[in-house]
Amino acid sequence: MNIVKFLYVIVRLTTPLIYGTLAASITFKAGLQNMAVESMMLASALTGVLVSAYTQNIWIALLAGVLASVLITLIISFCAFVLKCDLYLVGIAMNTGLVGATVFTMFAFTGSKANTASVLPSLAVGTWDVPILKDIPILGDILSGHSIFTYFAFVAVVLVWVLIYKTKIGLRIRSVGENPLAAESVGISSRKIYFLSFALSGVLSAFGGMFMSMGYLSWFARDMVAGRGMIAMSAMNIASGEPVGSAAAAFMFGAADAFANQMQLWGIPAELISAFPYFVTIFILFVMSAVRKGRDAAGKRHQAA
Amino acid sequence: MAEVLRMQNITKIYSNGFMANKDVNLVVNEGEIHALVGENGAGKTTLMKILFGMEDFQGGQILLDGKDAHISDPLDAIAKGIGMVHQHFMQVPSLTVAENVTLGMEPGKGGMFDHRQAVKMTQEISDKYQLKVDANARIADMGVGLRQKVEILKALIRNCRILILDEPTAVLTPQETKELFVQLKALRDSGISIIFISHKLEEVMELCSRVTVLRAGRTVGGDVIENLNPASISRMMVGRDVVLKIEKEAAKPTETVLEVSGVSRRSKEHVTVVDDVSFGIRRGEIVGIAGVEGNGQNDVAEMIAGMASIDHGDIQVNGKSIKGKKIRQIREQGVAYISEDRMTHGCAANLPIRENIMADRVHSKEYKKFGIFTDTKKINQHVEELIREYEVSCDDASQPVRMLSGGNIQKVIVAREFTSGADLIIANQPTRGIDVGTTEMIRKTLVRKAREEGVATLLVSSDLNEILEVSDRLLVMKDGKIVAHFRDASQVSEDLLGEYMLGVKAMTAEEMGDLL
Amino acid sequence: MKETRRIEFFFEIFRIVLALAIAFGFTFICIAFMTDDPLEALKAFALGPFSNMRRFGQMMGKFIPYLLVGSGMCFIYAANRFNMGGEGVYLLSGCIVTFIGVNIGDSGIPHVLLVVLLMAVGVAIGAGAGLIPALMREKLGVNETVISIMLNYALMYLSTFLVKTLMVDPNISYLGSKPLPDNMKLTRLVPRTNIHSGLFVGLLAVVVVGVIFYRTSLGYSIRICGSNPQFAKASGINMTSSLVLAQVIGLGLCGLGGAVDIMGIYDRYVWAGFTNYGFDGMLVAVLARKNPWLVPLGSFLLAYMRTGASILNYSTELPFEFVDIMQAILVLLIAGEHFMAGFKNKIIFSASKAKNKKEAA
Repeated sequence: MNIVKFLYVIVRLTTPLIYGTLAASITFKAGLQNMAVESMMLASALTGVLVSAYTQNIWIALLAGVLASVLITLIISFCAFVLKCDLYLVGIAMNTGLVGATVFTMFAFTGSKANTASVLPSLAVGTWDVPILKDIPILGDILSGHSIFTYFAFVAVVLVWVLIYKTKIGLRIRSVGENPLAAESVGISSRKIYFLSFALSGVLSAFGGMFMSMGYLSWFARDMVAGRGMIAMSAMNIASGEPVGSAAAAFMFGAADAFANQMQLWGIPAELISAFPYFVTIFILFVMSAVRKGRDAAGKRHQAA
Repeated sequence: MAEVLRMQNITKIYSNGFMANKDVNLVVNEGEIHALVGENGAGKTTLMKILFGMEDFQGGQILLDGKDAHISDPLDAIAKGIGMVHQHFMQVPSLTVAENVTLGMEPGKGGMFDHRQAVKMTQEISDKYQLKVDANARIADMGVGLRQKVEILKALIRNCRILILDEPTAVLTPQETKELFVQLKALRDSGISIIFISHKLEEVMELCSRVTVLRAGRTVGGDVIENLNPASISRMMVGRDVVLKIEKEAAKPTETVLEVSGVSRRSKEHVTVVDDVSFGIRRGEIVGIAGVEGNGQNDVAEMIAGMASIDHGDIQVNGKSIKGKKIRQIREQGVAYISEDRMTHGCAANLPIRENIMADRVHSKEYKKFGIFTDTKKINQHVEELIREYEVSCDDASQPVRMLSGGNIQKVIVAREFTSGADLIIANQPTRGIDVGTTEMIRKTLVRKAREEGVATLLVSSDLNEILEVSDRLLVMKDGKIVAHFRDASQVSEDLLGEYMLGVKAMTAEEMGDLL
Repeated sequence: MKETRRIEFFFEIFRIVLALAIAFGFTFICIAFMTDDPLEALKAFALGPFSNMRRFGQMMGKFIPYLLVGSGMCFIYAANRFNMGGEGVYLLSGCIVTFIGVNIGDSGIPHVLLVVLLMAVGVAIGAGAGLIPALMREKLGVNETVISIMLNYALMYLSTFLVKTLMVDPNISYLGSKPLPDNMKLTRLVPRTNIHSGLFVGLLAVVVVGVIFYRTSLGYSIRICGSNPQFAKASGINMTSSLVLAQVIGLGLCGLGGAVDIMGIYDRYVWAGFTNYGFDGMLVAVLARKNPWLVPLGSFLLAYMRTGASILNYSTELPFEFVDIMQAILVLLIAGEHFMAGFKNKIIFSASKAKNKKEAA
């Protein structure tokens, strides 16, 4: 097994997970249970492809993708905070609804229900051979030549960290998340913050979704997010919502995905390979929570003694 | 001294008809510390909520500096120079002092938060008013005394002239209380007027220059501190305007059901809330715990019910310890609990009356057919019987509990707990906010259960009528300790009770005698 | 107070009708924009399922598994533990049932015995798989929804793998199992339609679930845990066992749904991806407002919508995925407690004011 190539693939496959986990961490900081990252990614993945095909302008397409994702968050926010639907249920409903909705929309524009590959001349965001870095042995092979989305993902980690910890908005989001009463006592509207944090989450998810359809592949396929939103959420939970930690945790899942890819070369059947990341996620969550439980129990025993 | 605040003839009636404030008057002068005292439910918190723009009111006026002031909401109150330090701090634990203090008015350009500037701003206010805090420290790492300073700073940085402090010393150690007083006096000297809400009469005497006393929603008195002493304040605060007598025979207690031995508990802020409490209750008697709320009686009730953990000591029911046991096991040992917050722990609002009544007994063989199915006929019989017996006003047993009035919801809860076959019933504020008819019924039933069925009862209540009329024996708790034990509650006068509740007097161990 | 209850009851219906109207309204807009003859398309959608016996049968063919997954998801919804593993167990159950059936179906085993055995296998698979998210939540505090969705994908791929390796039919152009032996197929109640004897299983399931919900202590416990967990704890209810059982039974019924579906209308196992029956079950539970006795109504409604969509798709090429959008709209509006709540409260308030006036007069 080519380790270098393997690490390269890990970085590539972790990209959408990073965006997803950042999206989840923003809403987590606001105290919300955001299950709907999948739906935001799907919406932006399709919109980016459609708009790029029709306008042949990558920038407009990116903007459209972001707007589509934000629109989804507005619907979510409205249903959860105005209609008072259980946020959990809203997330689940949106995720399944969007799978159908994107197929429907894809059909409406292209006549295809499987994917847009042969039908739409959609654009893709290219890769970048980073100068200087690409010439460094090993490191260069791992880190250079990725999609621009990938490099931006690393930038996004920094941006989200700055947003949460260094801006006024981030301060308000964290306040509302930890103690809404404290925020309201100084005139901050929790509801507005909820809407805003979902919208920001939408922006991050959008890049994750668009990476799938305009970076990883250059077409949209039915249900192409395939649970990555959920996996990203798990990474965030492991890191307790911290943006940097979540991104690091995302690599763990990206590695599982990459390993699955590797298994292809060993002749393992395709379906088992596809199932592998999901089994691994369950396993990782099992191990991490069992460890945490063990630690808490030991701590309690220590306290009582 | 100039008058800075005048609340005149304030009347507030809630939508369910409850009159929280009736023609209440409060005058605060510039640069004074003014005590607002009264029992729980006397209307002090409501009055301050009105001042702070959190509640509206139906009658009266608020005058600031002699001019009519219409305070629309808390932000408006803050803008008009009113600041409030709530009993439960409104802070974000993981943020620093500077971040908490400047939240909502954060310094910084272009959306970025300038933490250094926030620290500077906080430090300035802190130095100006001599409230020493480290602006860079995290709230979560700070003790209660320091956190309270932060709350005060939040008000001061917004240029408050009138500072309301709601029971500020409830969570402080004696040392921290001393420090707070020094600071409050300094604030006063710098021209800020302080409204000090408290039950602790010693503190009121030490700190305040004038006192206003509320009772049952009305102003019953007020004077300068020189003309008052704790006993006289206590007499104004504690008293029943209407005495509701309950006819009952003398108790004939037999064997001990509940034994509480040396029980202590610390809150999560590491304040001792129950301090070495020991007492017992026998079959056939009702023991009441009187006290101003927050002195540990609620914690004692919850510990016996299994809802709160016992840090030290032991509690035995029918001779068996309940320490560390699950609620299910404790209930099986013969304990029933009428919880203080009925909607959270007492019922499932969206489910029918039937399910609410059967919640603790649906698993028992008595209500089962063929071992698996519920005996619908028997259950319906049982539920309907209880609805009749407890006069629950409803359509039928299938009606969701949330559709009932507060009193009827409590009737459902009481019906369940009273028929759970318990040897010990704990009633925690059982008639708070309930209509008169239901209140009378619940109290009479408590007495009947004790007399006719020999049930041992613990009654925790801040309603004087209830605690004096229903209890056979009476304990008083203050600061987590038992400070009085009356063997015959009917012989206790309100004045005497008030003095113990407010810490004016305290019994020695000898005077209390055998608490079992 | 009876007045309030009547108002509430009518309002529940009003809300559902309004939500349906909005969902259908959305459909009509799509139809209007995307078909050449909107009126014809509308007719096809609204009346199509009843237009002939075959189409009616198609609707019943969906109705039957909806009864099963719907009543199963009632447990999930009532327990407030959103274990969405129904999708995955539906597939795996159908797959394993196919495997067993293909291998022993012609070995002389009596039909009834085989059918009952296969159904039991379906339940077992659903129950066993459902146990994983349930235990991880109750014992380790892990989010059961995430685990269940991971499980869905895992089981989906696993099922496809098993079909490919263990029972694939090399003679057909698409991916499918070997033909199912007649011995394992459920009898058609109306010949040449999809109305099969699984209907009785479905209706029986509804009755069993209804009885469990309202006539057993387990049902009481599950509903109380879902309504107010703190009250459940204070009343001494064993929350762990109630909630785990709720998920296990719920998903067991979803597994049964997959088995019955395969045995009812298929000639071979052909599922290559999610069937959507799992999430449809959730919608049925939402339409039925967590009440198993209303599951047949919810199932019928959804079966009607999906069949109409499929007919529409046949005649106009409008993809039936728009029903997924309708589904989301319905769930969001109906489960949104405040949808129309303001309006409802105004009516209750003015009704009680009128009553007070009358009594005072």
